Parts: sequence; structure tokens; C-alpha cells
Amino acid sequence: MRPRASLNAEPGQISAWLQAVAAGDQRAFRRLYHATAPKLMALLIRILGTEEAAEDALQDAFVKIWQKAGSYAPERGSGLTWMLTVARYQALDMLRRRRPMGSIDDTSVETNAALAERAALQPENHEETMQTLTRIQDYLGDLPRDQRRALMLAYFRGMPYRELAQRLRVPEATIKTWVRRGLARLRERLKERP
Amino acid sequence: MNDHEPQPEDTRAAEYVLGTLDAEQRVAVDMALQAGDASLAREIAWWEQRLGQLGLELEPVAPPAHVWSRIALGTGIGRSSASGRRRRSRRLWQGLATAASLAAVALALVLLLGPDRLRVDREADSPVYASVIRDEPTGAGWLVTTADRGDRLEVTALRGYPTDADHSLQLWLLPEAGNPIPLGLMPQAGRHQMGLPPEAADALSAAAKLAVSLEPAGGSPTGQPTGEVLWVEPLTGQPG
Repeated sequence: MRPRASLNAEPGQISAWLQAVAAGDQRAFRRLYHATAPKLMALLIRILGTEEAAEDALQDAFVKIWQKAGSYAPERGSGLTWMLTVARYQALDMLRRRRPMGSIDDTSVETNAALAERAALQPENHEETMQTLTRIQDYLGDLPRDQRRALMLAYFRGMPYRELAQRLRVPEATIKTWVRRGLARLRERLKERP
Repeated sequence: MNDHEPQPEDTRAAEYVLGTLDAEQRVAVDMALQAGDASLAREIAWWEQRLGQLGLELEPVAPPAHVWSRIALGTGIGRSSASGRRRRSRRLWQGLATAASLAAVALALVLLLGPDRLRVDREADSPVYASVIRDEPTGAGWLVTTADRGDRLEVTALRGYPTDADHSLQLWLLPEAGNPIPLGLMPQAGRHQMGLPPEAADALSAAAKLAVSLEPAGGSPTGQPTGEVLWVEPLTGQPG
């Protein structure tokens, strides 16, 4: 079983480290890495499907964070979420490079549905995985199932509409409607949250 | 079309963040951002913060230690330069003032387990020195004890800290005064013995420290630390 780790820094501390990193502080960068890498690693494994690919993406993401920490604006949100976004874009770029346009047979990536399937097959992971799913679904709130599923698949796979439509076996216009309605409802739901 | 359905223009930023735009549309957004479309940039940042929350919900997974080594190489951290060495040296010595974290643990191990359990071959009148060097985030660590009346060190890897083939971890004795003294390369597993050079044996004291730096494979080419100093720990003594 993979070692588990927790985030051991306050959000304000992460923001302060990022600002120090922007000024070239290597010690702050090292602390930032050790405090946040497990969170980024979890997301990258979920997107890319293998620990080996996630390690490569994590390396590239932190090189970018080192280079671009100056573009982080604390007033726009949390430092950790900014770092997760850098890591996710890195992973999606890797997926796009290895996935030919229109391909839908890349089965190495765990989707929300695959997570549930895996939980059913692996009892020792069931509780943790279901808790994760529950937390994510809580965040997405009362979106209809189709909209929630389309958003989850898009978020964790970064698929353009045409591929999403093929994956979910619905017309492209339908998937666009699901995603855009889901985003609109999510905006309403989240606009008051920091 | 349903009046409540968002128009494509309204959702462009969200779709960019979500990843559902095709390559041509993504390039168009990138160009708009490069052209200074502040409104679009704000909208994208808003969605990045909100959708980014989905990633926060996953259970953390600790990456293996070698990933950090690769990042350090990729960013140039630890690359030697004259000014860099001066800065690191200054930071290292500043750090000594606050390094006291695990000395008590090391001494407790020596006292509780006894020299025999630690295979420390000491004579009654010779003090035993010990230190635990530990990397909290990864759990990597070593137990370092003196042996043979202070003529050698025993370094036991509790858990390794792998580096790539181009780098090694080097152990240093930091005397109460004077320059670091090279002791040897840190093992990744098992127990390893290091002969102590005379100047190091003479400098052993409760005021001395141990340090580990990331060096080129085989150790520092200059006899002094050239890479990043990763850990500094006190040396704790049990009177003989």
C-alpha cells in the first residue's frame, strides 16, 4: 500500500512560502515541496493512472512552480489550489501528448466510475475511496447525475467535448449542454465561497 | 435554446480550466491571455480556485524521495558556485544555532539500548557520541554513533533517501570552530563503518554537529560542501 501523508502547513504558510520562492528562497521551496507534494501526487496519480507518470509530472510541476511562483497572486485564492492547478495542467498536457486526437481507449486513467469499480474490487480501499467520492460529490452538490459525471470526467481526464461524447456515448451537443449547465449551477453554488 | 443555458462565451473560461475546449479553442484563449485580456484572466483564476477544490478532496500520497532530488537538479538548487557556497555556508552556520531537534532521541537510544545493542565498542573511559539524522517528510533517517574509542563511526540507515546516479549524500562533522570535515558517504541501507580522520576524532565533542549535503557522485570534489546542506543535527555525548 502506498504511504499516506497529510498536508502539514497552514494555507497562509503556503502562500508565504510561495512568495519567498518567487524571491529565490531555496529553503522555502524545499519546505513548500515537503508540505504539499503529497497532495499534488494524489491528484496526479488520479489523472495519469500510474505512480511513475505521476512522479514525472510532479517533477515538472515543481520546476514550473519554482519558475513561476511570482505569478501567484494571493488575493486570487489559496496557494495550494494554485499549485494543484499547475500540477493538473502539467498532467493534462502529458495526457494530450500521449492521447491521439479522438482516442478514447486510454484505459490507464482512473475516472470517477473506475474509482467506484476499483473500490468494489478491492475491499481494503473501499472505505477510503468511497469517502473520497462522497467528499467530491458533496462539493459538487445537487447537480444532476449526468452533469456531475460529465464534470468529473472532464476534470480528471481533461477531455474535449468530442471525446467526452464518445466516452459517454451521447451526442456532442448533449455533453456540451450537460457540462455548461453543470458549470452554470456550480457557479451559482460557489460564487459566495472563497 | 433554453434561456437559462449559458452561452459558450460565458463558459469559455470554465471550459478552458476544465479542459473541454479543443486544441484550437485553447490556443485562442492562450492568445487572448497573452494579449492582456484581464477580464478573461480573472475569470480563469476564479474557476481555477473553485474547480481546484476537487483535487483537495483526494487522500495525500507521499512521493518517493528521489523525486525531490530530480527537482533539485531541474531547478539548479544545490548547483555550486562561489557565491552560492558562501550563502549556503552562512545559512548552515546560522542554522546551527537552532538545530537541536533529535539529539535527545539519539542520546536516549544510546542510554536505553546500551552500547552493546548498538554494537558500540567503547572503553569505560571513552565518551560515546550519537546523533539521529532524519528527514521528517519522507521518514528517511540514519543513526550515527562513535565506536572504537572514537576512531570510527557506525552509520545505520533506518530508511534510505535515494538519490540519482549522479549524486551522493555526504556526511560532515562540523567542529565547534573551523571548517566542515568530510566523513564519508551515507549508506542507503544497512550498517556502514567510517574511519574517522585524526582531525575529526579530535573535534568530536558535544558542541560539534553532523551535517549531510547533496554532492556529485562519489563526494565533494573540493573537500568542502558544494551542494545543498540537507540536514544538520547535534551530536550528543554520553560521558565515558
